[in-house]
Amino acid sequence: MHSKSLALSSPELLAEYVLQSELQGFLEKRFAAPPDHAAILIRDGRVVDTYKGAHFSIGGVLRGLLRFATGAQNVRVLLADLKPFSIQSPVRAITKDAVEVAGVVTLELQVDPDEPQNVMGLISPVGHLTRTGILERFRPHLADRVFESVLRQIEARELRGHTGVQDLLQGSVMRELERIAGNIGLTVRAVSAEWALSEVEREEMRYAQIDRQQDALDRSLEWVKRGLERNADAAEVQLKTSLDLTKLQLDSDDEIERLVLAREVELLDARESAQRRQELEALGHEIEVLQTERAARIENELAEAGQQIDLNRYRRALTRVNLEIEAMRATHAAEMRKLGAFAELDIDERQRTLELDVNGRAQRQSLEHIAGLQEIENSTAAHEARLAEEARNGQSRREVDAVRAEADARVAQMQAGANMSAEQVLAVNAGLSKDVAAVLVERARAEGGGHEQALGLMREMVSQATEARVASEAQAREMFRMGIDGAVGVARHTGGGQGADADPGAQVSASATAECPTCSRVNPAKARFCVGCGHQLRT
Amino acid sequence: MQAQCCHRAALDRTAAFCDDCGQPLLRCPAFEECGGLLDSDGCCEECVAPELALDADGVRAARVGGALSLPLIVTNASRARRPLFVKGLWTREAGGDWRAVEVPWERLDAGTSAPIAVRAEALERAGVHQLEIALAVATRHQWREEVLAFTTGLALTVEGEEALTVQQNITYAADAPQTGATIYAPLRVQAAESPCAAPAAPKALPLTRASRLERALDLRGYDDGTVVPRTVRVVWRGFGDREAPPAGPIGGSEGLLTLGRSRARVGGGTNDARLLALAGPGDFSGIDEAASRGISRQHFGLCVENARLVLRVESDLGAWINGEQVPRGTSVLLRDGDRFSPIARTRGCLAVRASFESHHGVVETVTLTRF
Repeated sequence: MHSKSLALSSPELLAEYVLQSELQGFLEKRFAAPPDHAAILIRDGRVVDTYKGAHFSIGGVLRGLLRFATGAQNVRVLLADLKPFSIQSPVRAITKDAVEVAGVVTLELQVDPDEPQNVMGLISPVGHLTRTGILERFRPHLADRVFESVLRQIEARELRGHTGVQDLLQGSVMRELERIAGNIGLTVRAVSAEWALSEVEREEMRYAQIDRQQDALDRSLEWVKRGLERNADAAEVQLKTSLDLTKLQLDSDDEIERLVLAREVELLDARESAQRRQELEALGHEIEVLQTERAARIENELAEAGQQIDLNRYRRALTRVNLEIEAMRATHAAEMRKLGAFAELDIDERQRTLELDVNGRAQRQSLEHIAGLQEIENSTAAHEARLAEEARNGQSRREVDAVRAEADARVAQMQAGANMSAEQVLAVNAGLSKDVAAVLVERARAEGGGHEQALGLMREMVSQATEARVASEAQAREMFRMGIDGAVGVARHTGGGQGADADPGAQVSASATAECPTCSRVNPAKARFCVGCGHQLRT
Repeated sequence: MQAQCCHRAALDRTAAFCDDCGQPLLRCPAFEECGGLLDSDGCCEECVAPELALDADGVRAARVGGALSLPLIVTNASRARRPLFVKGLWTREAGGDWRAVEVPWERLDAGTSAPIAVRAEALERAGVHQLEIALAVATRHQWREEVLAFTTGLALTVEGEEALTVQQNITYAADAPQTGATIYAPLRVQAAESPCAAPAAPKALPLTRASRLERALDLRGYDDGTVVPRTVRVVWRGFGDREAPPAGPIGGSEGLLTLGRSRARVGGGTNDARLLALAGPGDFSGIDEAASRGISRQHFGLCVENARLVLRVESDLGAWINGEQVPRGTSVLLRDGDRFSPIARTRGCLAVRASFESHHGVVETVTLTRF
């Protein structure tokens, strides 16, 4: 006959009752308990038998007849997992040196294979037992009684890797669970704990890291020192070697004498070097003096060259004048010869006299020319200097005037902007003068209630004042005095919000209006364009 | 800048054109506060009046290879007492790339100033260098923001090392052999130092509007350089009689077109254009009332912001733009060919498409076609 293998309905379960529906039947049913499970047969509340890895049967015709004869029987089967299982619980406690430590405790538990029926005491009302249910049940008993009391005896730095602590913890947990659950089918096989890093351990790790870094620095320093010493030793060895080689080369008195002479030559050379340096310094000083003198001489030469150029120009002018005089004289003599008015002697005498006279006059003229040109040159230079000064002064004055004008304009603009209200701006933009605008603003503020009302009233009054071509303050006051107040009253009514959207054409009499042929809007008769559509009403 | 007649005509909030010169009235979005009109580049001079100045003791000269830090002062000189928001500051040497300067603050109230330092990079050649400075500021009103960029220039003097060198070699010789030498002794004539004097008072730097830079920095206009001016002509097609305004620029006191279920202004309502779900496409005789109840009284707002056409969803029910749902309070950039509809159920019989007609990168006409 085929046996039905029993199994727990969920891997999270540790024990559970087999459903009654699987047990009931008129015919006999055979069940097989797995080798690592215990099937506990309970009949009428009494444990009849326990099957481990065995087959058993329930029901059947004979038992049915017997049950029919003796009355109803209640049969239940409890299936329990006998394999060891582990549960983990977080633990947090204070150590002997008042350091908070945390960790995870792993409990290795097992349903007692010898008396598995005792686990019935742990079954929940719904008919099963879970691993987490066991943990939740025992955690309150372990927290203070075991973990806190054990860890209170240990210092934090001794906790990690301490087998004795683990054994103490395991023994304490076993004792406590034996006390609590010893007779309900649970045995404790092992207890171990893993610890998180505590504050003390973190500090020790940090100090250890700092020590390691310091050691690394010391080692680097040591290496650097050793490198320096090695270099120093090598240099020393090289010097000594050089000396030794020199000594080895001096294998005769002549060579020693030559060496001495060479050193004397070096000494002399050093003296000569110092002397040469002094000479070079003296030469450098002389070069500076020469440089300064040369610069000054270049300037003088430039000035003299300028004067020489002027003199050459004057000489050329003088030569040109002399040539002209000579030509005039020759022309004059030829004409006199043609006329025959003078004898040859007279002519020669006059010619000599004329030459002397001409030469003297030419010299005087040249001197006068030179003096005049010098004077002109001087006056020109003075004039140019004066013009330059005046130009600078004029530029400065213009800049000052520009800055002042700009500042004045800015001040005036700021003052105008600051002093004008929105109503005044509105009136001035419409072409009215400031005085008229002031009167209208005064009137608008007197008549209007709030700011919006005053603005609305202001618009109407500006419109009327523009149409009436009011140009002065007196005209504006006269306009109000002459009874335009009636119209202003209407405007105030409009500005006050009542009927603000009314058609403005309605305020104008019919005789003074013109209807737009395009949009039918009523415009003032004097309007050249329709204000609604822009159609030209008249030319 | 618009004429005085336009300022007078703009006092009538319902006027869209000047009755004297016929020009469209371009009101500032914050017209209720400033009363200003926009210029041709979309700038309200009442709101946006930044000033830039070189602070006193700011030196503008450096040696070759040096760098220069210039202390600047940004002032908000708005006559309308409106705040400005500084969006960015850039500098560059002539021909170089723009470098952004980190500005640690943003808001600048009217009449107040704030300092900022600008650094000129290493100046490697002597002479006069031009440092260009670009400033981007924004003015805000409710959810709208207009960003504008301005530039200015500053001349920096970089001084060289020397002006003249006279080469001279001096050869000397002593009586002893091999004692002569030749000395190289150049004469250096150093130019007189003329450092640019630091100004005793802040020196104002004139700001010029930089429209091309605005497009390059993606502050205004579209990615492809196209801009939508404030004067763009809006044409309405497919709308029923008295449900849309005549073709023309965006008027109103805030420069904002509103679309929704309420009646249009031409029909005595409050919207610029009316959106209702029709019983069938193009069938204005019947209205799908159930679908129309899903349209808010004011569902959309349409305006020109930063030279772009922007659609704002004002309805709690959201909207569908190019087939994607957009929640309330979202501003979406409208491009050529974009479609938007108020609710999903009416996508088949109520959608609006925007078409641009542009010349030389300037959109002249926007056609809103209803389907």
